[in-house]
Amino acid sequence: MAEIAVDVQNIVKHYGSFVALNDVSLSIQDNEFFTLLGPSGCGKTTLLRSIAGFEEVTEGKIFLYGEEIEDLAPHQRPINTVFQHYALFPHMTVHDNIAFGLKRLGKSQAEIDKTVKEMLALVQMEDFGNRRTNNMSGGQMQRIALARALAPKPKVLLLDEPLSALDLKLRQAMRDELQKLQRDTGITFIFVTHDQDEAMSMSDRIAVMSNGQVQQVGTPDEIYNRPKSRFVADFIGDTNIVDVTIEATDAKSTLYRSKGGVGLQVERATDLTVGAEISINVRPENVVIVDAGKGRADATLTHKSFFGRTSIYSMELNDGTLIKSRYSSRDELGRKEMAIGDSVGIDFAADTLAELTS
Amino acid sequence: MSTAFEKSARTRWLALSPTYLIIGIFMMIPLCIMIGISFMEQNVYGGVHPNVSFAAYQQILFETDFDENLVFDPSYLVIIGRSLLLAGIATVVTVLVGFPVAYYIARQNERRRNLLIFLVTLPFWTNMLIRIFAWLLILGRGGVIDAPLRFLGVLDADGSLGLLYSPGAVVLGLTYTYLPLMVLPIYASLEKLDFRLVEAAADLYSNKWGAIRHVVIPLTGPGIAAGAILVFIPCMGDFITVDMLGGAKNLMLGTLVQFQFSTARNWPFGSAVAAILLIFVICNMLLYARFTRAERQRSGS
Amino acid sequence: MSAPRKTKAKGAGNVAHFKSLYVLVGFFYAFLYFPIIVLVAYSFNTGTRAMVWKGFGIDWYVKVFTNGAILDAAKNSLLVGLIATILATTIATAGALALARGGAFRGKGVSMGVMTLPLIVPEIVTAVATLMFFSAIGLNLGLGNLIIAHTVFCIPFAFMPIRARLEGMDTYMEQAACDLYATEWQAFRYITLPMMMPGIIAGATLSFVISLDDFIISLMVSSAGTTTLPVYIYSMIRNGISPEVNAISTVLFGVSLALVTIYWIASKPRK
Repeated sequence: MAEIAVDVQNIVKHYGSFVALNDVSLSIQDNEFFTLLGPSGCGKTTLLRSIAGFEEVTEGKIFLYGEEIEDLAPHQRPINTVFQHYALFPHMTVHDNIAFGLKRLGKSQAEIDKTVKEMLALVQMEDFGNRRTNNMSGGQMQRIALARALAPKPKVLLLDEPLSALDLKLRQAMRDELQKLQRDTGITFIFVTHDQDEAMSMSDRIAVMSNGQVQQVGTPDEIYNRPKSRFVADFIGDTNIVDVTIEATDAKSTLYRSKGGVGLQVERATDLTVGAEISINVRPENVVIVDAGKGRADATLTHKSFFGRTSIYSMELNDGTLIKSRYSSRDELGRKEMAIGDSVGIDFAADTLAELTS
Repeated sequence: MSTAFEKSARTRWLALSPTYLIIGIFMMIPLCIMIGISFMEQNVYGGVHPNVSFAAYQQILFETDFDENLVFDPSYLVIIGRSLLLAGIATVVTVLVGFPVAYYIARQNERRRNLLIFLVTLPFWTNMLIRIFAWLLILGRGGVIDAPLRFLGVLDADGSLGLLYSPGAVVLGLTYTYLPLMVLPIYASLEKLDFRLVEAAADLYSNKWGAIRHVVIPLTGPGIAAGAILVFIPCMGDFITVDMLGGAKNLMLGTLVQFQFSTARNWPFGSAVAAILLIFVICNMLLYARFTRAERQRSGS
Repeated sequence: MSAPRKTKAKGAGNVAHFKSLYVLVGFFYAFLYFPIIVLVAYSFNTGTRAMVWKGFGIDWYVKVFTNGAILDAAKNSLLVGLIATILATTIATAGALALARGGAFRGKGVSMGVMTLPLIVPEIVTAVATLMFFSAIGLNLGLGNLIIAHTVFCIPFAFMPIRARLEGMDTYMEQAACDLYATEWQAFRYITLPMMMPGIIAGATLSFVISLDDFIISLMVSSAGTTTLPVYIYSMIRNGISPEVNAISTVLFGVSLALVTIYWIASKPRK
């Protein structure tokens, strides 16, 4: 197993009576692109700022490569941050911005000049050394902020929603660049965002947070396809969630019964016992529309929305539960036209179902 | 992270202590002493006798006649009334002039706006004494206004319209001096105003003046109120304008106070008048604070 | 309006626009600057009577710059202004840091009130209160008394632009510095201080202008040897208006003008 870069142990953070972080524990591995994902106010930024040293934690410990750091001031931690709005020093040139950390660390002038040059090359801004940072575009400021934070060769780089101020096209280009930069430098990145696409496309692993707690940690695939809680399933992408009771189970299959009485027989075992009340989750793209009577359950088509690349079909099960199915336009070719009110059957592969226990 | 000033109360108060020290010792204590002196007896050679006395306040309403009887004497009430009236007129005039000017400036593009505002503030920061002196050259006997009239024969060779040393001259001077203080806050609130609201009013069958009356003025109310306070208070206590353009006949509170210290040598009475002036100011500030609080509550932020 | 002019149906078009407003605005600016123009014009009058035009010349400027009493008063004004500015700016800078960077703390409102008290109290009241205070405690430091009085009323003028600058400054800047291994002191020295400098310059300039222009407090507090320029000008006006007053007033006006322009440039928010 890889070395652990940042180990967060039972962190609690109070602001007066408000609990921003409620017993958070996380292990972030060396050379990992790790993302903290969650809606605003979930505690992700507070966690990042606690690691950087801008917030004093109320309880708990933070280790950086085995060394306890939660009591150190920000300038004593070999961690650098890319701030949301870059926080470039407006009264300094680009060169001086990037050299700032190196100077504080007491590096020689020769070494500083050399590193600054390297960093400018790394972010493809070689000709900007003597420029001031005002009047630069968002993308350019973003690169300089990255170069400045990377110049002191931190053990961990923290990125606080760094792409949120950029426009869509630039944001997508910067995603690839950030990923490449992480691979090239080998520095552990901890990235904070509320944008699930950003998190899914860049990260090695994601921690989904809400209400000051970590809901689930996993690879993008795990988070998307095997969410453990209703919050995670719902927060990431579109989904179908049905509240059910486990009616029967054996080694090969399980029968789920919805509140309204619709039964769903699925060929998979469960760790849960009969009578357990849970929710089940199937992504719309995994729901297949078949002829009535041929699927796992029957439904009526109630609505169809065309989005260009995809279409969404809304259906109602016999108990009124709403189920959505997403088809890409390519899969639609040659399919027979359906009309609102048609009786259909719904089906899905057994392994696309996820049980949500909370 | 928080700055040292946020984390440590000691750092914070250490940084504030020179302010408290200087303003405390050299402003708050003097004001307390002044109020104390207003309750003392006058020493005819200047200074005071340290006896508790209400004579100074009595003097504002009554005069002691030859038989040592108190007789009601309205002459100081007249001065207070004149101060309120002239300051009030000046305030109204500055609103009437300042609002349209601020409106015009707020409708310009940014470059022109900045230039025009700069031109409004520029005279304000230059020496007030000199600006009022310039009016002396204009209004004075044989000045810029009289001279051409004499030349045209409207006036005699040494005749004068006698504009100077009149209440009108005082109002003119006060208006001139404090106009920027009215334009700036009104401009600040007009600049924030979304002029699409005027279009919305027009869309809803309001004519231009209706839109101004029902949309623009209510929304810039706080700016107008701020301007009124900023103009009224210094007008009440003004010395230079009243002294130079009003002459001896048109005393107001500021010149009355100064007179007590420079000529009459009646410190307790001067202090009492100054204290009354201070009370006017405090009442105004409180009124304004209440108004802005109500305004803030109304706008719900 | 700078919008391109188009032929419009009567009544249609920009509803927020009042066409003849510029006439009033023109009168307004003329009103504001007319006295100043008159003053400057008269200062070049060679005649011996202030209000009677004889001819153009700089005779009175020469008189002003060779008049020992005026030069002494000017020296007093500059000295008092300079020292009061340095003191007031230092005090206001420390106070502004505490108030703009101290978060929300108990006593903030009161501190704001104390800081701006000299702005609220009418000048004439401050003047007589200060006069009686110095007399009561028997303080007689000559120019020192004036310097103290000027420092007091300069503090809020120095404070306002400094605070405005600080509040417009992102605290993320200081955090970024600490993140890049700067101690708190280094973050202040290399980031906060240089970034608030335009505010400090603006505040100092404003203080200096205010001190230079002050009349009523100086009149009350100054004594025989410590006359400032405005007080001297006032006494000249009282003793009958000589053209010398026009010349010295124009000079003083020019100085204020230059300083206010510096203030305006320094206090402009940088983009």
